[in-house]
Amino acid sequence: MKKALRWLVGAILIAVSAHLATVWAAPYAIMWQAGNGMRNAGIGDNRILHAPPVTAASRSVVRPSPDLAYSICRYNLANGPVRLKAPKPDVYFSMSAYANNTDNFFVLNDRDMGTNGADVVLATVSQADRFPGSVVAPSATGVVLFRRVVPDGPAWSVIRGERAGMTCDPITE
Amino acid sequence: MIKRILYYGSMILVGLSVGAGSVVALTSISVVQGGIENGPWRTNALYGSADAGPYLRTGVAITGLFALRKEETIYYMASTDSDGDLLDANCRYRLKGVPPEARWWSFTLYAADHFLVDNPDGIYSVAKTGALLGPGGNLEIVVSPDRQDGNWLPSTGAGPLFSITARLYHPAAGVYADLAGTPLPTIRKEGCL
Repeated sequence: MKKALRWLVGAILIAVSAHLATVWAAPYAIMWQAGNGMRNAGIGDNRILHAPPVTAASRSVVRPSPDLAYSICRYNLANGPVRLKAPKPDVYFSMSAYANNTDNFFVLNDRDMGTNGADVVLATVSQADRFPGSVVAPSATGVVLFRRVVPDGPAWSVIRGERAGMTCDPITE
Repeated sequence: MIKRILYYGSMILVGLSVGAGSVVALTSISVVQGGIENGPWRTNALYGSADAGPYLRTGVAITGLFALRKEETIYYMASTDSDGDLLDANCRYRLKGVPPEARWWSFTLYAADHFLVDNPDGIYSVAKTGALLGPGGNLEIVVSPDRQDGNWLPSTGAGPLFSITARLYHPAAGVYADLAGTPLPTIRKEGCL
C-alpha cells in the first residue's frame, strides 16, 4: 500500500514538472522546428527564403494563408545587427519580427512605411546604442516574416520583382 | 532488479505522458486561452502579444505560429456551426452575412492538423480580392465536399474536426470596439451525405 502511494506521489510530481517544463519550452521548441525548413533548404541565418505559392503541400508552418506571399528570415544578432529592407507594394504588406518564444515584437506595414519602402535595423539591447532608431529584439535569434497579399495569379510576376529588393543582411561593424 | 525498473520506469513514463499530454489538452481549452466568442467564431486579443500568458502562447505556437498582434490582424476561428455542432467534412454548410469590416479579409479552411486541405481545384480560401458579393453586398460561402457555384470552400478530405479561420487585416475601429459583436457570417448546416 505504502509502495503504491509512493508510486502515485512520484508520478504526480513528475507529471507536474513535465507539464510546467512543456508549457515553458514548447514555444521555443516549435520556433526551432519551424526553422528546420530553412535549414533543410540550406538557407543559413540572416538570409531570406522566398516561399513558393502556398498550397496543401506547404507544411512547414501551421495555418498558412494561401492568399499571401511569404518570405522568411531567421535572424541571428550574435555577430551584429541585421538590416531589413523591402519595397512598398500597392497592396497589404508587412514585415513582422518574432522572438525565439514566438512573441511578435515588431510589425511594420505598407501604410506605415515611406514611399521608398522599409529600411529597418534589428539589434540587441547592447547593439542598439550604436544604431540609433534600431528595433530592439528581445532575443538574439528569431524570425522575420514578410507577408504580401496576392490578389491574383498574375501578381506573382510583380512579386518576383519585389522580392529582389528584400534583404535580411548582417551589418558589419 | 526488474521489479525496480518497472516500478520507477512506469512512474516516470506515466508522469511524463500525463504532464506533457495535459499541456496539449489545456492549451486547446477556451477557458484557459481566455477567448472571446462571436457566434461560432472565437478570437483572442492577445494572439502574438508579449502579454499572452504561457498557455495562450503555447496554444498559439501549436495552432497558429507567427500570428500577428491585434493591431495588425484579428483572427477568428470556427470549429463548430452556429448551432454549436462540430464541423463535419461530410456536410454542406452556408456561411451567410456581410463581408468583415477590414482593409483585407479572407476565410480559409484547415484540416484538424492545421494545414490546408488538398483538392483538385486548388481552392483553399475565399478572400476579399476575388470573393463574389450579392446584390446588397452580402457574402455567402458554401463549404461542402461537392462542387458549388459562387464562393466555395471544398471540404473534400478535410476529415473530422476541420475549422475555418477568418483573417481581418487592418480591421475597422468598430471591430476592435466589439470583438464579440462585430458582424461575422453565421454558419448553418444544410445537409449531410
